[in-house]
Amino acid sequence: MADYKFEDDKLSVAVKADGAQEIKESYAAFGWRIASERADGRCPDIVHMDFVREHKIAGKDRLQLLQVRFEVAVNFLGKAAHRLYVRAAVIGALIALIGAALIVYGAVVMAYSTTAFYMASGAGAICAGVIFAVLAYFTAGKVYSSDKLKYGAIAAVLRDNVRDILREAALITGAGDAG
Amino acid sequence: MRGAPGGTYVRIKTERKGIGKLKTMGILLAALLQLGLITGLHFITAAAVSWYMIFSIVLDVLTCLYILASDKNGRSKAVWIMLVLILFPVGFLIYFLSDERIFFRSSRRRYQNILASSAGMLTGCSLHDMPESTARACAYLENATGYVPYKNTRAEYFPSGASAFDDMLEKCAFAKSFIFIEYFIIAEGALFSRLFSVLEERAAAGVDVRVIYDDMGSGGRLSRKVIKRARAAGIRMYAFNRLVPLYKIGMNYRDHRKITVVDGRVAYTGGINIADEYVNEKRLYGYWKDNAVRIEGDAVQGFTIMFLRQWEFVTKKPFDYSPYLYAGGGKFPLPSSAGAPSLKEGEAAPGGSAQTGAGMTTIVTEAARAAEGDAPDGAEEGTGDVPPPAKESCGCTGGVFLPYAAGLEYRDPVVRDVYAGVISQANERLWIMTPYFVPDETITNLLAGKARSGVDVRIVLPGIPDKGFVYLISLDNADRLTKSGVKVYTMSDAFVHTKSVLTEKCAVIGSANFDLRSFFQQYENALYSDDKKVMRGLERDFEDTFPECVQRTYIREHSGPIRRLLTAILQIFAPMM
Repeated sequence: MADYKFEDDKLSVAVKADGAQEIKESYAAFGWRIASERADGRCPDIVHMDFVREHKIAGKDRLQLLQVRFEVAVNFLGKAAHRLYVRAAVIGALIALIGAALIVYGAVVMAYSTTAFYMASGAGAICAGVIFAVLAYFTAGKVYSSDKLKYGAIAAVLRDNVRDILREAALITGAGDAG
Repeated sequence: MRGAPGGTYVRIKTERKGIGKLKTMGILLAALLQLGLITGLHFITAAAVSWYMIFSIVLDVLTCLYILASDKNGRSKAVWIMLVLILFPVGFLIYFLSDERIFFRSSRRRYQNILASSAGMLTGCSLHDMPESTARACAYLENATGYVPYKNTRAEYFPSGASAFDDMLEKCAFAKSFIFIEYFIIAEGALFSRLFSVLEERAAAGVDVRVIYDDMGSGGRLSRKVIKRARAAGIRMYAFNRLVPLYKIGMNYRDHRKITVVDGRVAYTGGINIADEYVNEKRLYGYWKDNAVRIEGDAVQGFTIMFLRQWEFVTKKPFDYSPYLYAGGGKFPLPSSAGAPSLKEGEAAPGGSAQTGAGMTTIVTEAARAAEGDAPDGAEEGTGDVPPPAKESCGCTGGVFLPYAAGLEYRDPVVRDVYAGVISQANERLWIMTPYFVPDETITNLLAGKARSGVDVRIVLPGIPDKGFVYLISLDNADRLTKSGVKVYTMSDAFVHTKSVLTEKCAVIGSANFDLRSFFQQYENALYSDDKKVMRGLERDFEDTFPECVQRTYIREHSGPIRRLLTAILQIFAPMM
């Protein structure tokens, strides 16, 4: 019985232009060859890459699992850098918003106050608002540094994992040490 | 003259007075009528409510008695009774509209006629020359479903959808007589294009190509245009239990089977469906872990009949099965695996009469095994608990193969009962891989008991879920078993879709999950086998999967109150998931 002829497998990836070369080399470890490459029409810093690979290759199941793990790790690393700022910024902004509201409230009370009591209350609210603003700054900084530590540790492990994954994939495909 | 005005005045006054009285009386009458109406309505409504309540309570009691007397499992009964009691007649309506005993009766009768008319066509091997545990399982399946055990069969295990479909495509490409395909999901994509280009080409060459797909499983993923194109190319395609926009009785009963039969010589089954995620050419939930098994030889007839019965059911046209079966159930001439050509391409598949194969004893050469792409023998194969298979020239290892179907056409919950039988006979190890783990008390208690008695019980579940709620229940159910000593694993970055059980005595590979839908509602199929090659293949798959998993510890006490509450609520409705 003659062998059935399979067409090559295809894979399309969209990445940031500055990381394109690294991604290209990484996918080469999984046996993918670049077929075409083009810039995104709308976002100039995005590159679309089309890869091809022989359909029947040795160790394909393992390669597919490794590739999923590689993609999960790379995507996490990309998101982690973004999340690092977002969580700190959101928490900081929320506290700062309370501070700003207190300052505005204090200013309005002072502007329309008729007695010394209201004047003092307004001043107190402004002071509290300023304290909240300072608190927001320090809290955001604290969250950022703790997240940086946490994500940094995870990222370090993931980078090691990515290296191991690429090394194992390269051993299967014979693409050389890509790690 | 008396003053007319006075008289007129008096008269006029009198008239006015009369009208006023009349009005007053009218108003009073109206008020009285209204009062009477309200009072009447009140009494009527009160009486109606009372009668409604009496009617509802009587109806509920009768429905609950009906549910209690049904064949449903204990959990299902409890949930249905709760629903009926809460929803009153609405609960009664929901229950009876979905009761297969009433509204699936005609379909069931049709199925029974189909089963009866084709019952004599299956002639397998004797139960006497097989191990006791296998004989018991086969006896149950033969009695419950009519499917019979076979020998003279060789098998190949595939630990992934990609490897199984590549092999299947090659077999389909050289089909000469017929290709039967029955899958829960058939979805357009790269795999579909590859397979259907082969099917179109074979159909054009005169091969009888038939496809059954489930309308819910393939819903939205298989366009009418493609179905039309396939039909125009000569591929006969039918949807099982077509979905309609309105609620349809029996809509819940789906064809979850996964079968491919080529020329009556080769058959495939497993967890796979025809969709890109099953071959990892599309990412849905990380890596898609699946499996399949290919069989060649006598046992293929079990799958052929299984498909033909379903075909007769969906087309509603009786026909003669015998042209598709090998000599009406005779021995299949398995070729030697020692490099011999598998089957002559021009040879007609069905209808032969040779009686070879079962008694072949020539030992196959190592070179031939290597040429076939098999794993090396000896030391490597003997490393596991399953001894290396002793091979015959046909590639058979003397094992028993029993393809079986489960569904509403059978009185017994076959899937549950087979799993229960397999579990109860395990004495050393019991390894399970399933995407969903929502078993009934019978299975749960058996697993806990086995683990407590020292059997190595392991369950592999997905690390990434496809259905969040079912996953929560699955983990909860599995975690509870860890207290009894069951080892629960979740495969990292992967969705495990394999549905298989391995013990030291047998393997079950098929479409049936460890959940109540597979146990009691869906049309499933599987292969029961004690064949050493199948068992060794599955064992190796488990051994390769364990290192990719995280072993779970009992975390129920550590989970938050919201999760515990959500899980508790979901557990109530688990029988319906």
